[in-house]
Amino acid sequence: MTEALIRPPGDPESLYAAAARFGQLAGDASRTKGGVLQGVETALKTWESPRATMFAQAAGDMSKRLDATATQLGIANRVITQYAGALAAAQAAIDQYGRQHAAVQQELRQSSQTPGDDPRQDTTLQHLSQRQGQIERQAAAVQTDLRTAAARAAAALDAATEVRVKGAGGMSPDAILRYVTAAWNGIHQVYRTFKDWTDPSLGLVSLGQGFGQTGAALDALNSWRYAYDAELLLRQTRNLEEAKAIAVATVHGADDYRALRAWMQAQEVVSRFADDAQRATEAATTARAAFLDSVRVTSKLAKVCAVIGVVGGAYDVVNPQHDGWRGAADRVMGGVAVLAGGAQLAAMAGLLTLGPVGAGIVAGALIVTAAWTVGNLVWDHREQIGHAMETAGKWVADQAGRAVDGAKKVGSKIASGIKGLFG
Amino acid sequence: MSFRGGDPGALEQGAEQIEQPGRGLEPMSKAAASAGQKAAGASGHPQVAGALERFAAAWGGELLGDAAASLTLARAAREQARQLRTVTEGGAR
Repeated sequence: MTEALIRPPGDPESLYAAAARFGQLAGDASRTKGGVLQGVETALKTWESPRATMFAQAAGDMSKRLDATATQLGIANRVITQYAGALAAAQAAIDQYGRQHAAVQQELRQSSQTPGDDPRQDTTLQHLSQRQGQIERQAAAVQTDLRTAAARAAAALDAATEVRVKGAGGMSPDAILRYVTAAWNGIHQVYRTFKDWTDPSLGLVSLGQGFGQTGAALDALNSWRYAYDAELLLRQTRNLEEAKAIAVATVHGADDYRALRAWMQAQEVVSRFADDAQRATEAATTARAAFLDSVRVTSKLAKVCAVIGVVGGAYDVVNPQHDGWRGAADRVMGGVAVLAGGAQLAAMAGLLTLGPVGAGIVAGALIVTAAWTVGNLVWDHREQIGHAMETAGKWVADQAGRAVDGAKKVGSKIASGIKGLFG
Repeated sequence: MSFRGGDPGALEQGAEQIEQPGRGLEPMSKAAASAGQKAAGASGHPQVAGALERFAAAWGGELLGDAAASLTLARAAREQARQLRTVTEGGAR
């Protein structure tokens, strides 16, 4: 049998069922959006403030994203249904051509076995052979049509996958997936450092390690959902002067500030650091506007809400309520830098002293706040994070691992990265 | 600009209303992944199967993100309510 007559593989009935499921999910996504927006309206009925505005913006982003999701799920429904129809028709046609071909083959066999000098026999054989060729060509055409339908379906699905999501900074879901998983990696790295943050001595070690991970911490912070909280975070850099003292004294159990001064020996550096931090705060005020704008425009934090959402909400970060040594040190952000060691402190102070008042200083101020903030965040929510990362993260990893081609460029890295988190 | 802190009761009610549908999004993301996987297996064509897997992974992940987003919104509303109650109770003392 020629290749053209081989029945195309696939199960149209299962495809129809999957298409119907996507259609149902599209409806569910739309209804969910309606439900969420109703709750948002209720919450905003009597609430009007900058924070309420951020809340409304976040809800608006989510609404747009759910709209995009519903639309694309609906597209999948139509594309799969169409392809299922093409597959079913092709299978039926090939089956039919297969039967016809077999019948002609049988006739050919019989005719060729019949002895005789009848010249009509040659004509019959020739006719049957032509008929066979015609069936094969027709079957090949069906196979070609099906391949075209498959290519179109795949292209349509890829286009629906790559679509930029409104309200998600113009990123595609695939890009969001990468972004979220990368953020997961960063947060988990910090989580590992801080999860055993049970007492001051461990805290000191954690802070030292955490300082080295400020890149990851900063990524997490920069991806924060509530810009308003980022604003508060920046404001807290004003406490740098007081913070450094309290942090060192509390963490090291120093009873009075004089002991701290003796211990520090880098007082001059610290003082300069504090002065510059003050200027950094002023610069931060300017930078804040740009930061908020970029947050609103790109809305990149919308993608990381999956991570941040499960972690526990930004309010806890900027208004931490802790007892004991962490309670005092909560007032710090910059203290982390002091604790990180003389060399690092000098480098930081050098950066602040030498650099112009501007983005660099703001970044420096943020760096020292980041490790502390994320450290607290992680410790306070370690169980939630562990659980949420395990369930949600594994699922994402699973999906990333399953995806072929497009996801291959991302998938293998993401999948192994995420799976590695829980190993 | 006017400032109204909000009614804690309404905020909590809103949080609940957000949370309820929001909780359904995670199962939806799993259902999307499952449907994509089944369709990929049934497609009989590697190109279609690959596209289906990518589609399901991407939009399933998106739904998962939206699930977390909705819970974050609910949490924010609850936190606002909590802060309002704290302020009110503090003022009453």
